[in-house]
Amino acid sequence: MKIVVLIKEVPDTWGDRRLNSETGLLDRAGAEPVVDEINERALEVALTYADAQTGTEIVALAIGPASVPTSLRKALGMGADSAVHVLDDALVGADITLTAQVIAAAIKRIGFDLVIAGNVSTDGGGSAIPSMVAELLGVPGATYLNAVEITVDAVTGRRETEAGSFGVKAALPAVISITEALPDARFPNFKGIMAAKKKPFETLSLGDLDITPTEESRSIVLNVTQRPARTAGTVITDEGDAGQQLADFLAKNQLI
Amino acid sequence: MISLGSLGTDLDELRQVARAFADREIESRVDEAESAEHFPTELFRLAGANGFIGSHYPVDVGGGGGGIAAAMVLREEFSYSSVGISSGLGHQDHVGTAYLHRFGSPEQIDRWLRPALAGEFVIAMAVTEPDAGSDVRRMRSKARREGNEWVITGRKTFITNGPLADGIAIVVRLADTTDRFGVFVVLRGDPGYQCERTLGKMGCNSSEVGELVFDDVRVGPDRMLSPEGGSSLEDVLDVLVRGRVLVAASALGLARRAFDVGMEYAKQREAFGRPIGRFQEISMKFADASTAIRAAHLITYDTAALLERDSTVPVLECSQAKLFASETAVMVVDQMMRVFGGAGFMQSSVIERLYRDARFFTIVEGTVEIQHRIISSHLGL
Repeated sequence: MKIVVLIKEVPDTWGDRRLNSETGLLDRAGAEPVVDEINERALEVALTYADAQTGTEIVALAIGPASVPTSLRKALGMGADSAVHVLDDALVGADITLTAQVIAAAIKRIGFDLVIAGNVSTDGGGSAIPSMVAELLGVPGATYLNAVEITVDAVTGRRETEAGSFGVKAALPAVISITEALPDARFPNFKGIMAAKKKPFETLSLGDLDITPTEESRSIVLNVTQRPARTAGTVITDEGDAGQQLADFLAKNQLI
Repeated sequence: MISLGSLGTDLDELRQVARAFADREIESRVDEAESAEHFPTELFRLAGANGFIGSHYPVDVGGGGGGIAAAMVLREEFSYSSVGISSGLGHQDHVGTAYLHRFGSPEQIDRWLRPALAGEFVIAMAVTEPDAGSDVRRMRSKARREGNEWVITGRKTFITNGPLADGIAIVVRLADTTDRFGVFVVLRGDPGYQCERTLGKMGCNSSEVGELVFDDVRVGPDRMLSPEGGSSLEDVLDVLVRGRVLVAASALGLARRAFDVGMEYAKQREAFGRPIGRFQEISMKFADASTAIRAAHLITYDTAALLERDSTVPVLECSQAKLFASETAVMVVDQMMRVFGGAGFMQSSVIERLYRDARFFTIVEGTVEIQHRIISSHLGL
C-alpha cells in the first residue's frame, strides 16, 4: 500500500497573520511557518495504518517555498518514509486550480493507492483541493471524513453534516480528506528526527512535472485592502435610563 | 520568551517537539498533580511511546541513539512546565534505567530496560539512606548470600518514583566485604519489600518520593545487575555524577520559565503611569537574570559536549555546571518573585510554585555544599 499524505506549510495560527498589500499574497515573514495541524492528523491516519500493516509506504508531499523542507522533515521525523517537495518560482501566488494540477501531477509521478489530505487549511481555507485532486487523478474522492478505515482494497469513512451522517466507501485508489475529529498526531521522537536525515527527499520543479503555468490559466488578486481598525464602541453609563438608551441605540442602527 | 543559542538542527528540532509535548501533555496536568501531590502515571507511557525516555541510550537496547544532550534538552523543556513532573520522568529516563543499562545482561535488558524505556515498567533507583546521604560509604543496607539466593535488608529514603515503582534498582553493600557494592532489582510484591510512606515536600509536589523498607527480601541471582563479586563504590556512583548535568538542564528550564513569566508581568503590570519593567529597579533584574541564564546554558551544554567527547566522566565540570545552574535558578526565581510583589506571594501564581521548586536543585544529586567540596578538591584544596 502506498499512501501519499498532503502536507501544507502555513503561518503559525498563534502568530500575526497578514497579507502583503502590494502583492496581495500571504506575508510569510509575518509568522513562523509550521505544518498545518490538520495535515499532521492526516499523517497520523496513514501512520496508524502503517503501524499495523508492514509494507505500507508513506510519502509526504508538499508544494511551497524554500522553507518547506523543514516541515517535510517533521513529517519524516514522525514516520513518513520519504518526502517530495515541489519548488518553483512560478508557483508563487498559485491559485487552487494550479495548485491542484501540480499536486495531481506529482502524485501521478510518485504513484499511489491512497491520498490523505486535511479537509481545510488554516490559511487559504478553500477546502477544494482534495476534490479537485481526485477529479484530476480520475479516482473517487471522499471528503470531510470524521472516521476512516483503510483496508487493502478500499477506504470507508463517515461524513457528518447538518443534514445527517453519511457512510461512504470507495475502492482504491482514492483520495480522502479528514477532519479534526480524527486523533491528534504523534510527536516526532529523537530516533525519528535522526532517521529523517537519511530518508529519501526529492525536490521537483514544474518542468519535472511537465507543467507550464500561464497568466490566463489562473486567478489574479486585483487588490487587497486591510480590514479597517475597529472603532471605539458606544459606552452607555447607567443613570437610571440605560435600558432606554440601549433600546434607542439599537433602533437607531436598525437592529430592532 | 528568553532566546538562547542553537544546539544544532537535531537538538533544536527535538526541543521544539519537547516543547509541544510539554505544552499539551504536561501543562494540562500540572495543577491537578501539584495539588493532589500525585504524579500523573499515564505520562510514563505517553513519554515512552514518543521516545522521550532513554533518548540517550543506544538504539539496540531500545533507546534513541542520541547523546546526553538529547536527554538534557528534554529535561530542560519538561522542567520549564513542571519540575516535579520532569523529575518523575527524568528519574525513569536516566536514574532508574541507568543501572539496567550499565550493568544489565542481555536477558535483564530485555526483561526490564526495554519495557522501562517504553514507559511500561517504572523503575526507581535507591541509594540514599536515613543515615547515609552524601556520605554514601556509611550505607548500611546489605545483601547476604544464602545458597543460591541473595537476602536484602535495609531502608532507603528520598526515593523519587519509589511509591509508584514496579521495580527498584537498589544499591547495597555486599555482606562480608568492606568495599564491594551490588545493585539488585527488587520487584513490587516481593515478600519483605514495601514503600513505607510517601514523603511530603515543600516543592516539586507533582513528583512522588518515598521511604522504602527491605526486610529480608529474598531474590535469585537473576535479580543481580552488577557482577557477582560486586562493584566499587566509584563504579556505582558514576551514574550520579553524569546525572548532575541533567539536574543543571532542569534548573535551567525553571530559570527560563521564571524569567518568562516575570517578563510578561513586568510588561503588563503598570504603576505610576507606566509598565513596571520600565523602571530601572525592575529592568536591571532582567538584565542580570538573562545574563545568568545564558551563562548557565553555556556551562551546562558545554559540559554535555565534554561528556559526549571524553571517555572519562568530567567530574569537575559536571559539578561546576550543576552548582552554577542551580544557584542561577534560585537567584532568578528570587528576583522574579520580587517583580511580582504581592501577586507572587499568592498560591495561585506560577512564580510561587517555581520559588518552592527551585530549592530542589540546590539539594538533589549532591548539595551545593557538596559541589563546593568536589570542585575545591579538584583544585587541590
